[in-house]
Amino acid sequence: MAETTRLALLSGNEALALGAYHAGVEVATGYPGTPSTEVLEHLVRISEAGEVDADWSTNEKVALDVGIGAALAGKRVLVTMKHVGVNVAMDSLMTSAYIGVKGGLVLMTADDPGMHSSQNEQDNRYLGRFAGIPVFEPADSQEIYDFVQVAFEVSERFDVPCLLRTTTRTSHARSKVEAGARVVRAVEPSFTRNPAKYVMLPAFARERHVVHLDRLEALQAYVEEHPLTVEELRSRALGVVTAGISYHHVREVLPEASILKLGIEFPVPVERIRRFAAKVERLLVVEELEPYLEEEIRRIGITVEGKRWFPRVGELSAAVVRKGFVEAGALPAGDGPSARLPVPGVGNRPPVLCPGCPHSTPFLALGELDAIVSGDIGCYTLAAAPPLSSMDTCLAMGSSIGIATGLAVSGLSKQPIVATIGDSTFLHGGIPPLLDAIHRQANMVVLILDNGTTAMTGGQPHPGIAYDIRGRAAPAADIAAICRAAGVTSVVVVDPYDVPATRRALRAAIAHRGVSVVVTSRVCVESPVKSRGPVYTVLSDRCDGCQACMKVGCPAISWDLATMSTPPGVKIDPAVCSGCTICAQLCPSRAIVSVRDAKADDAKVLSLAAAPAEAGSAR
Amino acid sequence: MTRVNGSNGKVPARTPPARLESGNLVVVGVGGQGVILASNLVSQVLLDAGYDVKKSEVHGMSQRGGTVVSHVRFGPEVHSVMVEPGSADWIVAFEWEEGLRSLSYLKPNGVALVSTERRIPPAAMLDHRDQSLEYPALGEVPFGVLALDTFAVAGDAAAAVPAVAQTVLLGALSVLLPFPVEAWQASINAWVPRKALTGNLRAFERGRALAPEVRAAEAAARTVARTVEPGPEVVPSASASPVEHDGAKRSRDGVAERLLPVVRIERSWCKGCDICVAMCPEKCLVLDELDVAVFARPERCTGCQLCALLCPDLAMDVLWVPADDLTGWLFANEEDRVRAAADPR
Repeated sequence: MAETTRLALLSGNEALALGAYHAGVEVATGYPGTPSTEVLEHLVRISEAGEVDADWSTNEKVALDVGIGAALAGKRVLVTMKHVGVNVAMDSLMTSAYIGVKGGLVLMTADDPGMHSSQNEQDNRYLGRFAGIPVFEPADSQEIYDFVQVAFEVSERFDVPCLLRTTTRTSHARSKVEAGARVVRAVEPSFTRNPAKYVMLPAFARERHVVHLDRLEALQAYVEEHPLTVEELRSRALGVVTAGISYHHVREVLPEASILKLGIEFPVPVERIRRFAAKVERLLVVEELEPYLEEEIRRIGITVEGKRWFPRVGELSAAVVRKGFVEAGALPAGDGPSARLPVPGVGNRPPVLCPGCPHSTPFLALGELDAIVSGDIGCYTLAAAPPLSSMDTCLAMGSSIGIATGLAVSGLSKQPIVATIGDSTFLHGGIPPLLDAIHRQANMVVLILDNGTTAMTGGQPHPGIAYDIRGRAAPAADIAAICRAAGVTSVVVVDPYDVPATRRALRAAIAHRGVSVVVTSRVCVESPVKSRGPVYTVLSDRCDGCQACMKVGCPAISWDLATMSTPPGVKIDPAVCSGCTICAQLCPSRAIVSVRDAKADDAKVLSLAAAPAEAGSAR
Repeated sequence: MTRVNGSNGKVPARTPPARLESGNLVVVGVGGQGVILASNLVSQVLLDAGYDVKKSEVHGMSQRGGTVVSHVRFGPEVHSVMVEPGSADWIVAFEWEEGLRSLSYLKPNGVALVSTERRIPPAAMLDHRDQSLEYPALGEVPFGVLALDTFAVAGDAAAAVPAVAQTVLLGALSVLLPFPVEAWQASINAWVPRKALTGNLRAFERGRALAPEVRAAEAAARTVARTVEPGPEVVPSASASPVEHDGAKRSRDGVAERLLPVVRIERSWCKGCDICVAMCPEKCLVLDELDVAVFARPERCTGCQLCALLCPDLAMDVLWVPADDLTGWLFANEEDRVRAAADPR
């Protein structure tokens, strides 16, 4: 094992990888998604290729199917995804509870309360309950490390996949972990034919549904006395039922309260809760997002308060939990630290596309063309924000093409209809809707923003990339060839750093009747091999402050404070500039040149570039 | 807590307590500045000193030029992973605006070590017409803040790798925490990439050499906090280096004269080809009923000259006119339009 962790503090995701590794996991897969991505990446870092077969799958459903197959062969399998990814895998997950597993299968769902980097904040405990599979929710890195190992045992003992739910804070926060060592499972892969269990024809599925329900009963008895549910009796005046990260907020704010901390949230240990409720005078539930436990407790006839005091929206924090306890009368008013008022003049700092991002020019062009842009999930979703402001819808992975098809067949004809989708997202969920659009003969453009990586989550390979998660060579799918094979007659590949060519390609694609595809092909500036050209600079005597360059939203371009008192001036931060040339191509005054050209031009220009303050006063 | 007479300006030499029970630190900055690395480095020191440590930050979108906040909490047993507003003992800020934004975390008597480095975000500047900036001034240093020109303090230590300058702040922080300098050096050795190691160690030393200023800031925070309500109070700072003064709202207003762009259209030369109307990035131009281009939305024009450059008949040019005269220019244009409409040739 290659040990790389220098800090003894592990993030929850690292602890999950380590726990799975120590539990003897042999196959691991998933689809990148914040806050789940680091699990597989860390697992690859701490394991050898011969120990764990790990790689990203095309999408979450494929990942779960791969996982189920490996589990049926007797391997212990870890599958990772973010909360909304489970929706994609749901079709397989529902019936996987019928067919069961052989080797243990743990599905990690990384929920994102507060939507730090997600399109919704759904509570996946309900999905576990819906599928009828055990749901584990650890509260910190140590628990994640421990729980994942228990989850593998439960999975094998009850022949069922297990859901391990983390949240952004448990996944990304770092805390101490005491770890053991890897258990080497000497399991030779084998497959035993058993159609009645593995082939879900209606006749067989009816039998398996009964097995599934019997298993739920057995699980219910099992969780009631499970050591992962911990009762901490302190003051009898108030008892709190909680789980996950909320436990630590409660301990922080109300150290005197009695607590029943659930480690397994489905099935809910109702008898345990009943006994706990009998020991305290007042029962509260503190849980993030939905009133999941609250409803379960109320259902068994116990008086309980929860969402009456604690918000159903956003993530909890000590401050939010404190406020809830104050409102519930469990803490005196004015309890806790008081914070300063915000300092005036502090503006927002929204996330922006990186300097040199190849996504910026296509969206600039779409804005000029006044297109209805059906967007998708990825870095390019930032094009919805100023200054690009050229995205009109964004729903779920791969939805752009289907939504654009719907807009197109509705007869909207005044504006061009363009679906924009990244390379990883296209392979994830863009191909079936593309086939649909072609078959319906929708009049629309599909703009595939191919930057050769899954960029938003930090640059993971996908099936269109010629290497795998361990950096080894792998076959790569050709996106343009896929589109042609699907039946698109007009497929153009263009370099988005060539601004006129990008504009021309989009205009031509819009003029084309039916579905046309434009692929902008340029590797992500943050990909493992950073692309950097010579840095660009502004000749301040030519700049008239028209802001054509600022329309890109490049973080390297800013007002030159030294020239702000004269007619306007723009500067480029040489430490940030990637040399992409996009701003130089947009400048109507030809004021943006490469430093190299500026030097060659003449010595005067050089001195201006080096000393912008002088340049300003010279005007 | 040490009693300090704030009026005599003298600060007693104060050494940190031998052992801190617990503490809350918030490290903030802009994506790419090294906030996470810095909080890892501090956490290492705390762990080596035997504390329970929890550290939390949000990854994902914050990489892309957004705000990065890292919370570090330590003590015998730490529960919540996040520092509550109003409960940070120390704030280390790698960027001026982010430092001010994070002050809601600071305890009334806490100390914020804030770099005067400014990363003015594109969003603060993209105001097409009045070109004003929304960014807090350097001149007004809020209470509890020690503003440090990290580049000036770091000097040649940051020559090779500019980001190293922020390590000055960790040096300054080390003055307030009771750990031996060797512990910090060991952590820097463990965490910093080799090529930037020497620079980081030197920048750390220079920050640590600011001990008198840092202690003065701490003492001031402790003294005044008894009487001043927590709030955006502005008091003179115990600044280690002079900070430059500029306005919170900077604009061209009020400086000499304000110039605004006007598109002048020679109507008799325009043949209504539509190129300018289609290509204007701000959609300022429209064709009138005679298919002649009209400068319809002057308030959106940025003066980019794209229309003038593209016009095949050289029928337009862009002038910068004093704001006071703008109505006259536009009105003249409008008169042209009315006259032409009344008397079509």
